[in-house]
Amino acid sequence: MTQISSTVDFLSLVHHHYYIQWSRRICTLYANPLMNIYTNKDSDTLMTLGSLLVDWLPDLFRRTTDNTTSATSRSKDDDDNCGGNRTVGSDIVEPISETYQWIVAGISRPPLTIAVLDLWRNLCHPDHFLNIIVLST
Amino acid sequence: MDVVRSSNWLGSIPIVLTLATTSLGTTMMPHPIHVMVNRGTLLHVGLRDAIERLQKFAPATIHSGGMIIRKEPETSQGDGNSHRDEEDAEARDSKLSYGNITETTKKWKFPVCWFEDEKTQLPLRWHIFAGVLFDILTSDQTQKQTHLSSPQYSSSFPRSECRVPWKIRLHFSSYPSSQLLSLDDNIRNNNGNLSEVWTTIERSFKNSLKQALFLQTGTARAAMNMSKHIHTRLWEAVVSSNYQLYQQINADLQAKPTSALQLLPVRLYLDSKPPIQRPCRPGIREGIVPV
Repeated sequence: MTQISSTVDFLSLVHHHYYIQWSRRICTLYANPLMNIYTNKDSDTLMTLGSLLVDWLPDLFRRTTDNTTSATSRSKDDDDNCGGNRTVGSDIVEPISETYQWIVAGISRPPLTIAVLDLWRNLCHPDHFLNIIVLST
Repeated sequence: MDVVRSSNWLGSIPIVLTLATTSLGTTMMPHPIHVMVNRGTLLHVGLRDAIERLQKFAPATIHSGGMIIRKEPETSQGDGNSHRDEEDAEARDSKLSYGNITETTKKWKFPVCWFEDEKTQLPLRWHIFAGVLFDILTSDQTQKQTHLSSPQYSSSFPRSECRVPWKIRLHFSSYPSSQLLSLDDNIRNNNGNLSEVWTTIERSFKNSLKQALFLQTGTARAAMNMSKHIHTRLWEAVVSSNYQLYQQINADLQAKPTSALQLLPVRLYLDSKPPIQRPCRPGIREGIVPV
């Protein structure tokens, strides 16, 4: 924790540590080398964030099967969030409403195709729990 | 992989902490305190210095005992003792050093206090990490900020709408027991003393960690084998937001071979409701995990 003596100092710190910049930095880091930790041969065995959300919140997320989708297809959300290209199977998970949000460790709407294992390895909290936030309101 | 984790640890949230008027024990309202709090810490831990400073302005009964206070502030008592209390607080401040935070915090009796989000006026759950609370309560603004760079949003959402810094109110009275877990659960420790706030928070973290270890390994052995020394070092790393220290200890704790991983410790927060926690296997098909 940093003590800040004046409002001016504080605001400058806010600019330095600007929350979203930090979030994007993490996202960029996450997108490049780390998305390829596990090779494609394992990808169809991994539980993805989308699969988890469909299983746990079936009222908010749905699974749509698209046979034309390849393993490297990218959704709009992936593009918006510097997401990776790891896809599990041909199932596409999407929120029932576009207004829903899901956040992991400050990263808003990470790609639903990311493996939960990858998220847990990199973004779990000090108590080893991965906290996923879904906002439907 | 370590780069991401360490970067994640460095993430901080700018917070403006103000004292609630109902907890004011002096005639003068203190200035808000601006603090950067690590995302991976708990609010009571990350804001302990600010709490100690604002405690001087609370009713005298609070900073003398540190036990739960449910009565309204009495201005006359606060005025009489404020000078002496300020001196005591300054003496405590001089002892405070980041090198030995845990010891210092043990000397200072942590008061029972709670935080309230100024915007939503919701009491903040003390056992949830600051970053998670921030994400839950400031989501709308976060989403707007994320798209600020897009031309289509640049005019719709001016930066003045950003919810940074996060405004929080500190209360020393009227603890909302119906909405928050108790901070002084009246459990006697080994010395026969009543459990203190700091101990309660530490124990909550420890229990959560043990739960996660059990899920990962499928056995209680890892949690039971965790020595007090290891836990103390981990807790110190969380308190001081020291990733290097945390990683030294955690490297042996967190299941290394993925094949040994039974379940993933995952909590899902839907809006402000209590978290959902279910068994989460790393692989879709049971028993299959990547090597």
